[in-house]
Amino acid sequence: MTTRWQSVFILIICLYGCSSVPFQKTAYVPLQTEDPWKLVEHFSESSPADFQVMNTIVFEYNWNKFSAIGYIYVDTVEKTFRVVCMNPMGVKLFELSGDKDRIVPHFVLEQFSRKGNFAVTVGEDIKRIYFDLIPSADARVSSRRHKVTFSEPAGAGTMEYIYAGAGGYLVEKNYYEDSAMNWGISYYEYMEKNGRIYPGGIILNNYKYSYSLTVRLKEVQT
Amino acid sequence: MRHSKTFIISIFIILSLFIAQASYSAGEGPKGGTAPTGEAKQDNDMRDLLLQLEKQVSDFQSLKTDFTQTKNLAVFRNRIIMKGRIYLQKPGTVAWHVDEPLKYSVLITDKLIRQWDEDADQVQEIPLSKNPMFRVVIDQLTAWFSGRYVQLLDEYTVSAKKTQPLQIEFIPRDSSSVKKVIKAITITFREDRKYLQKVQFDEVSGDSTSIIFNNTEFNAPLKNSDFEVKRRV
Repeated sequence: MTTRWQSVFILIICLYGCSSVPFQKTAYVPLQTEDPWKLVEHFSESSPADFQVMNTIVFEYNWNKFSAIGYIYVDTVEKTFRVVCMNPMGVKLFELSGDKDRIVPHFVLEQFSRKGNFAVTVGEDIKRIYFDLIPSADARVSSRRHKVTFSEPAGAGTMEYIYAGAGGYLVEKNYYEDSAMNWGISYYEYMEKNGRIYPGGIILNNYKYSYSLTVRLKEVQT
Repeated sequence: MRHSKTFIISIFIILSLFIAQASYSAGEGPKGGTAPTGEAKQDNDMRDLLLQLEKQVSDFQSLKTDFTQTKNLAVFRNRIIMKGRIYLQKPGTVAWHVDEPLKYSVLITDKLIRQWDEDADQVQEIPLSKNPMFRVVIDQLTAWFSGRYVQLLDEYTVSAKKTQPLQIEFIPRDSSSVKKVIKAITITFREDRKYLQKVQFDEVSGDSTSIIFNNTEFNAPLKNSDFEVKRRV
């Protein structure tokens, strides 16, 4: 009986999980190239070195959700970013900038700053999403017909990059510690603008702290 | 609940900005008698003007208006434009619907706050009894839309910048807690001075926000659907 109820519970969780992804699932097709590093090279060449976009972001924590509008500038070469986030009525929630080593809060709504080091948490998520989307040359490669997975040591754990889909673009970036996924990012619905590709949807799941971010690309600004 | 609270506080802040700011320091700010004599005369003249405006602006029971909100962020060259509608039914029901760039609705009554946005796609209801500060917000919101401007003299130095159309600038007094955030608020009235045409917030950070009101109608019959907060497509 317990097993049955457990199955029902798992099914509900799965259904919830499936329905909560608001983006078109990447179609796993046979990859065009035999050489995994060609995929990485092509992805790197297609990605913008620096860009400014407007997103909407849904923060989800403990079954509560709230939405925000984010403006972000990212320089992936210099590894710098600047972000301003506001609620749908136009109230600025926070403004941060950062680089690979530090995060500078320029403004954080008092209610956010009361909850631990909010700026660092947000800044780290931005870096996870937008920086280091390419594995290093030493990464271990696992090729399959529909996807290529690269993994390499990172910090106290392992970083995993999965490239798949018609374009062979990055579809997942996952971080594991002690064989458990600490956080994972999924990239969906790549679109092209001015010869560069941008993911139309991004979902970050932080399993360690049980929250998620759903990012929808609204506008690429030139 | 943590995020709900954050959101409530966010709404509170923007409404506070939109409305009157007077709630920031009811009883804290300098009262009329504390201002220097020269300023006192100016304040008296302005008080007369604001009293006159109050009479002109407050003569309605319901209101609906479109708005275009433009936010200039000092660190980005692009502007953020938000468009939507506001419905107000005295004595204290306000619906705020954003249509672009994100569909979002919030209803504020004397009993509850109800909100929804297209991305979260979840209607959240927050009873006002648990958030007494919202009572203040509603009072303030009604005061602003109803044109009770005289109370702003406690918190701001008020001066007329233009007469055609009438444009009034509110600069936070040194003692005002708002001064840390707001450099100036400028409101522009319609030609008939019955209502606002534009509100502009200039922030100390260099950011600015303007809200332009269009198609404003007084005492137009409002539909129940105007105050509905539910899934929109």
